[in-house]
Amino acid sequence: MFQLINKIFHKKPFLILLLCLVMGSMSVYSVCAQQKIRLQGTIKSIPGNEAISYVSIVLDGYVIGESDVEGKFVVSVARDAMLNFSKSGYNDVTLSVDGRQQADVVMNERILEVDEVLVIGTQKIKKLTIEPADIEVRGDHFYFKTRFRIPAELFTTDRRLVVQPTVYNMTTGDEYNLRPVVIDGEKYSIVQHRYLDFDSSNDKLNEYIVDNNINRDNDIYTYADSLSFDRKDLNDKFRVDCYLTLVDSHERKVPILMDTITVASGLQNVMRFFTHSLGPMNLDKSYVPVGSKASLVLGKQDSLIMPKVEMQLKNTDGAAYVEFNIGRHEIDYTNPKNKANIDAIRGILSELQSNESASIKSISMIGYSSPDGNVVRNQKLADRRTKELLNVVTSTLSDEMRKYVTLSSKGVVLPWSSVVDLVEQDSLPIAKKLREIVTERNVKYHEWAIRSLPEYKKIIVPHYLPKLRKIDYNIEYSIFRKLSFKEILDAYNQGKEMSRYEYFQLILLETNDKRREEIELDAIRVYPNFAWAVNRVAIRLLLEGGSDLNLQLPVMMDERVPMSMVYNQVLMALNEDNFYMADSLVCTIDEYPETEYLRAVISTLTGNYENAYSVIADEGGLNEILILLGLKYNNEAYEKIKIHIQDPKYSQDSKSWYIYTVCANRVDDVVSAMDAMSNALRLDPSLADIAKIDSDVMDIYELVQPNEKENYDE
Amino acid sequence: MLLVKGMKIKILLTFVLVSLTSIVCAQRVVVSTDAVKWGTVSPNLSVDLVVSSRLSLNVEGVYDPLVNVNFKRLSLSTELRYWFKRPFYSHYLGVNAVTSTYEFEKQNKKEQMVAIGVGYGYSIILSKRMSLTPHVGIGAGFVRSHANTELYTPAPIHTEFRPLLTKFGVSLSYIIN
Repeated sequence: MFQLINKIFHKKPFLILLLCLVMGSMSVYSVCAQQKIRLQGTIKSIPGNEAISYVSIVLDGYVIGESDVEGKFVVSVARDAMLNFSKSGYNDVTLSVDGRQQADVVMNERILEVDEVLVIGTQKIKKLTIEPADIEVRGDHFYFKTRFRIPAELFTTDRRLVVQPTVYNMTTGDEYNLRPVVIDGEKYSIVQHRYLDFDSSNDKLNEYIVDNNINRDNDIYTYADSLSFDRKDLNDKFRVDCYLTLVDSHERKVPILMDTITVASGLQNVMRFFTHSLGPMNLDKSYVPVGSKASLVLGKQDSLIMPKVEMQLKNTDGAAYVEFNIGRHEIDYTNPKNKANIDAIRGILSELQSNESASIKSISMIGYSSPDGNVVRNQKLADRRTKELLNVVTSTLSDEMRKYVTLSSKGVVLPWSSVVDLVEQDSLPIAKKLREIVTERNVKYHEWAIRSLPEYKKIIVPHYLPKLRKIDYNIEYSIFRKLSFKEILDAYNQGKEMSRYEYFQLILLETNDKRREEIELDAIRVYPNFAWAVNRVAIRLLLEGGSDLNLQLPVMMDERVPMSMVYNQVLMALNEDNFYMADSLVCTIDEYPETEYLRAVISTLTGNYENAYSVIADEGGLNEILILLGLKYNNEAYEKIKIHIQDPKYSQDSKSWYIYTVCANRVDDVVSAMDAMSNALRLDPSLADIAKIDSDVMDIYELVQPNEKENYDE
Repeated sequence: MLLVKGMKIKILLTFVLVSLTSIVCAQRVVVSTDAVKWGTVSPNLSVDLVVSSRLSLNVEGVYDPLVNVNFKRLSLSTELRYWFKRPFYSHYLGVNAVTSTYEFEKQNKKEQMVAIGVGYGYSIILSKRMSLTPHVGIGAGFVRSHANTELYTPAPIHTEFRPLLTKFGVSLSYIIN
């Protein structure tokens, strides 16, 4: 037996076989019992060197481990294992263990390439997309800009697409159409043309056709339009809806597609919180001090608007008893009485002449003669005597004066009844008899009857007849005469018509404020273009923050209206939010340095931010930040508001926090925006109403107060 | 002979009808001519009156003097076309009536034909005013033929009723107004 085995063992091929078997078993054994090694490491990402957690570690298709929160992993693997590290969002990494026990892995973030056309399977999305946009408020216009893309699949050449954007006021339910966009396919355009008798104007939508050759692929159309609105609607909620209609060239009644897309929601109105500190201007172009009542400043007034002191037409009249010799008209100067009378009149005249403020208008005299004697002779005599007196009296007048003075003289023969009147006045006994004669008997017999009375010679002739022989004179002249305050006041209270100068005096000298205001308003009612009074009322109104555009209109008609009054009118227009009137008015004022700030404010409020920037930026504060937001310099605005809010004066100001929200939201810093919104609402809960309709903060408001329910009519 | 007379009356009638309609409601008048027939040197003219937004009335006349070696022909047809989309754009279906006389020189016979058929065409828009309309029409009608002899006794007349091709061609149309 042993011999047999020996024989086999010692044969060469058997030895080789044995060797192979042993070696094979050994190798098999080593494979089966190959030791795993412990591999540990950290997984980090390339940009930023941050640890990546929850990375799957895959060996041969099986997940054998995961990295923990700190990116660390531990696995037991064979020395030559190939491990695969994968996580969504990162590129896969393959690692060969190579007997190592420590290995760190670095993974790249996968860059997602987003194509503008989403590919779902092999189908492209066929929707018309309109880019979301904002409704921007500038002055009293809404500005709306957007872009839209039309996918080619939607459009065959025999179709027309009508895009009608509308602005919808959700609070009142009003809808306003913006300019529509009409896009025609080529075939549609031709068929339409044929159908409408080759006359384009038959197509009501013709003016809106933007393109009638659309057979290009996926074109982008830009759209911009503006709409004027009533500023009282500023706190309403607005929305822009686009109505889409797609029609066929031959199917008139049923469109292929009708759709509505809401493109914008809320208003973007940065100038909501814009404040200006403009106050009225005095006539001398100085500003009325803040907190003052309309002052009685009479400084360097423009003389054009001050009322001129007025002339009164006055007259002086009197009677002169001049003795004439019987039958003669010459004046006897030696008679002292005559001299006195004449001198008196001459005195008056010379006084008037020498007075610069007076000018004589006319001198008239009426000479009366008594009825005794021949009537015709008496008349002639009276005429001559009166004329003589006139000449004598006016002999002192200069030639110059004579040119402008009207002289008139007249002689009148008094009837006997005037004698009787005089006698009756003295209640003499014969008065009755005289009266009888005069009333009962014919005029011709009066003289004879009276002469035959015994009292004639004794009473009538010496006493009464001379009384009749007089010359009345009337000198009319105009003189600058200032009435005293009391005189004016009396006249005013009596309801007499007052001149501007008189009103001026009244207003100046009245001490009671309320009464003075009444007088001012009365003066303006009577003289609507009494610039000085109108100015006072305007300034007072502006200091109270009110406005009345019609107040200064009569004054503004004058081409020499002072600049300060136009300035005040501009302020009134601003107070009424009528920015465009303010703008057109301010252009009529030349560019004074005093009006620079006013112009900047108006530019800002009408949306011309570029023009206003330098002045408003110098002012600083919230206004500067607002104008930066208006110019869309969002980053600078954000930097500035951060500094602004640190100022202790503003750290509790709700408006500042609100604007902080706007700035943060514009640069997409949502966390800061939410904080700021909470602060603003805490400090002033009424800002919630504004936040709900303001497109700059609407979304932040929703995040901060998500439970608010809207009950708008959608 | 009778048929020839009848045909003349028909021609007259059609003319009158056409002129009347053109006065009453000529919304659009389209003039076309058939390219295929010009190929056989047969002058032809066809007038379309657009009657409503989808209907048009077509009158076509072909006259072939004996210039052509094959035959002499005078043909008149009317067709009422219903356009599926708009006149002279895309497809149409029509009902037509044709009368024509032929004179075959070689075979020495004369034929008169009266037929009614159904036609179909498709219009391709070339430009604002031009369209290309290939069309075909199939129908049935009476064909009377007799030999063209000058014998004293009239030749025997052979009438039959058979299916016919009433219309075919490719016409180029021009829209006038």
